[in-house]
Amino acid sequence: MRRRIFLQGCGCLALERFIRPEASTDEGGLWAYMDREEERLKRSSFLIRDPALNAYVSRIACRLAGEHCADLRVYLLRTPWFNATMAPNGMMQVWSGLLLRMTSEAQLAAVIGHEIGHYLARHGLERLRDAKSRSALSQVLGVALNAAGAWAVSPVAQLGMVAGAFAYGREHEREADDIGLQLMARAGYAPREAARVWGELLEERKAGEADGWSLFATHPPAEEREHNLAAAAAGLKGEELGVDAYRRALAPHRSGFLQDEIRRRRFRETRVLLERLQAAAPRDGELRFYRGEACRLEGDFAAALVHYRAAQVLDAPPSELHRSMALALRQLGRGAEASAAFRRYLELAPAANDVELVRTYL
Amino acid sequence: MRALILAFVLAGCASSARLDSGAVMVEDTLVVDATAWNRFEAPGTKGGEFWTIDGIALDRLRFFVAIAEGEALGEPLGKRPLPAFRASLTPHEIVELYEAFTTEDASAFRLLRLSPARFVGREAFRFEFELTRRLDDLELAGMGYGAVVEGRLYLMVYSAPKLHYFEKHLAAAEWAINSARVQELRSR
Repeated sequence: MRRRIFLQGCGCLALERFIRPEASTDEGGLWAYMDREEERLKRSSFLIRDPALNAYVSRIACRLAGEHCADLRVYLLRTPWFNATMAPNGMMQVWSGLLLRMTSEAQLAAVIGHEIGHYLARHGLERLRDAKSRSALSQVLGVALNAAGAWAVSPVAQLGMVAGAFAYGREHEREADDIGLQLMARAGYAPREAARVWGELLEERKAGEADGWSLFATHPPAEEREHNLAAAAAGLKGEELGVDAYRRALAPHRSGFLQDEIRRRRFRETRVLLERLQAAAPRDGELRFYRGEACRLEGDFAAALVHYRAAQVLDAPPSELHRSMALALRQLGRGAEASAAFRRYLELAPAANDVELVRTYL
Repeated sequence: MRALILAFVLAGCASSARLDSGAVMVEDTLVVDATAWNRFEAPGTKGGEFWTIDGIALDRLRFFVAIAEGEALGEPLGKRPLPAFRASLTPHEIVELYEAFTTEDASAFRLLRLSPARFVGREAFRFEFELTRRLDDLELAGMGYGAVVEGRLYLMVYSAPKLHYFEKHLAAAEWAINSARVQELRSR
């Protein structure tokens, strides 16, 4: 039987805040477990600690969560995959791969709203009460946190395992999507942006390999979600996109996130992502540079050169552009042009950490 | 196999053999002065010899010996292949190979410096880096030397936790690296 408490607009979104359960109950045990996880997370070297970005994302979560705002803690992780998770104790994680992929505040709000939906509807607890789920859950959590070797076997699977511990079935995902949309609309965001998130992710996934996408194994298929979200959004009000606000908030971090993205070495997916971001910012020289890197590092030097040359006349390409151009030219056997590009790099970045070595290339 | 090495170490079942001081041969090709170092052995490892002083989970001196054209630095962790060495690569591109190798598990790599240096008796390169290891959140500092000799790549890379350990054994690492020489290759 499908629960409809949130879909009737009955004001149920004004639910009272949750009270911390008794430690001896199964819910209490889960909270205690997650509290310990949270303590570990706070010490992680991969935590993004920048106060401004944290404040920005927390503000969005707060806006969406209403009276539950005080019970939520948002953690930003330097992990270059699309993911956000919400634990039953109010701890939310958002990965930098997701932040890189959002193109508006409304899109980020869609993802956060979805996670808050899981929290409000207490999906984690429901899973725990299902005995079969409970043993699987503890197994997964045990493996995820103690197995040093698992990381190396399948990095993405490991990254997803703790997330997967709270991976929900289709009904829960649909419900979280529904609640997320309502929260977005209530906060004034444009609900149609939610469908776009899935549409764009789908495009990226189609370009790439299967192995990076295990995180989505338990969700309804992306096509279905996109379709359902678009249909549901049609009936809701809300116009705010926050494109500029989002770009400003992300700006100090974007270069780092782009480098992390390139280092995933999923070049086809990266190219689709960067093309999409470039379509919204045609004059962005840094994006064009990274499109070049996504070709050069895969060995396609001619294609890389096309991007580097284009980036030269766009806004603010990084000085590394000329070094990368030189490396590509050199691989294509165009030594004289390569030297010219190395020289240009030295002119633009005389204090770079590799100038002595670059001079030996001339 | 790399994963298993670390798993063995963290589980405390690695064996570490003290090397005789003086010159030792690494993978039949590289002669290095082993004073102060212990050699790490793990069953069935293919290439990628480690030396250590305080234990492999802490400091490591790692060898990549006579990597040939078309060969990667080691076995990939998953199904996706690692990028391959080519003799036409610049030091910048060789460091990119090392970065790809060391970040396969989503660890975070930051190149701090890349400069000309002497290694195995010839003009070569040296690089300094930091690595945040995904497995256990450890912040490592690293330093490596590389050279291409007769079309083959030789790398020696020293890494250790940034706090205390890196400085502690840096001199021993520089000593070993400075002593390294390439012997003539046997027929392969």
